[in-house]
Amino acid sequence: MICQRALSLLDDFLDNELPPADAAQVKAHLDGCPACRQAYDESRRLKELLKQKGTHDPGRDYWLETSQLILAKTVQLGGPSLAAVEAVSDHRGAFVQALVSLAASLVILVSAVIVGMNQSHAPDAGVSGGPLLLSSSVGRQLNATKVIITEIERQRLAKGMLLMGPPGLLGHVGGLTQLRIVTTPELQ
Amino acid sequence: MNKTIPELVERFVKGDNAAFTELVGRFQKKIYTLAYHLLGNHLDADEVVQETFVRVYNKREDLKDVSYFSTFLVRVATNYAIDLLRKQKGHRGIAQDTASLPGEIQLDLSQRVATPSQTFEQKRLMDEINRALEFLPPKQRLTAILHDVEGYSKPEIAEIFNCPQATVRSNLHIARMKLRKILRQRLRLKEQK
Repeated sequence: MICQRALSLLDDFLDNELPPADAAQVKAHLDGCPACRQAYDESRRLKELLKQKGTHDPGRDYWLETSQLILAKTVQLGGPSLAAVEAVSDHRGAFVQALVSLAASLVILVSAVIVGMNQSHAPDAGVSGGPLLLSSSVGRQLNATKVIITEIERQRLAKGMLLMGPPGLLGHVGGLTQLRIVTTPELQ
Repeated sequence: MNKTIPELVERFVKGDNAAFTELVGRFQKKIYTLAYHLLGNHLDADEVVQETFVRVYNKREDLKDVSYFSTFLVRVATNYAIDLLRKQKGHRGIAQDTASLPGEIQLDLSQRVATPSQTFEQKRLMDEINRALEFLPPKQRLTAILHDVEGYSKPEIAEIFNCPQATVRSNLHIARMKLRKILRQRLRLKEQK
């Protein structure tokens, strides 16, 4: 087997996808050809490293919040009704209970936000256009004039992807344009 | 009793939104991980997860003709991720934003039993790999990630991209060749140790 042929089969050899006879020929060539052997070793090492490539676990809260956000977005599209969400609450325990109350608040909230957006001013965070979804963890930090949010939440807010729940919020939604957004890296 | 994926999909297509909720719960981590590998930062991965499921919700009628929900889902996610990559081209590359995420956990199996210096070296090497991946065009990058990181087979990737297997083989071959070229010095050093 010549080098060109061996190199053309290298990927399949590496992935164990060659017929045994071809694999044996490639192996014999690699044993006798340092240049091709080096190419193979580099490819093998690269594949091993890619397999080890790390990922992130953003944490349990993230998955819960993201589920809520997706459901909230599909509620806007005529998606899961509150009844549907309640139907699965038996299986999901406290989380879905919280989700149900959140979804209920959201329906009111979205309406209120849309009313708020009809006003001519944009909030300090620079968000304009499209419905604004706000976060429950942020809701706890709310007072009459100031919202404290994390950097991540700020970026999600800017993308219109942040969900803010009911505690203390509903009374302030009408005054959203006056809210000051303060970012903190630690608050979660 | 836990319902199977085909059962859930069938119910979802018929309008059972609780089934959709269940599907989101079962697949969101898979989509996040894939998107994170491809885009390299939490915010974009997060956006892909949300947009993918919203799009699937909108396309639920299409699911009647789909053999494998997982493949369909990954196809929607990768299409959106590729759009994001193309939009970002010229603006920024893979953002290494791990430091900005409080409480975030870096999961890297190779680091479990490593000494601090090995860990540092491994992290540096992984950063180099991420940067090297950044040089690849979206389809090549995605093919390498799906195959070599996520473990998808070539036929599965062909199904996801709706393209011939020969295209997948070609993309994978070129991607590996480019990565080897960029990382050659590092790969050789590693071999010698």
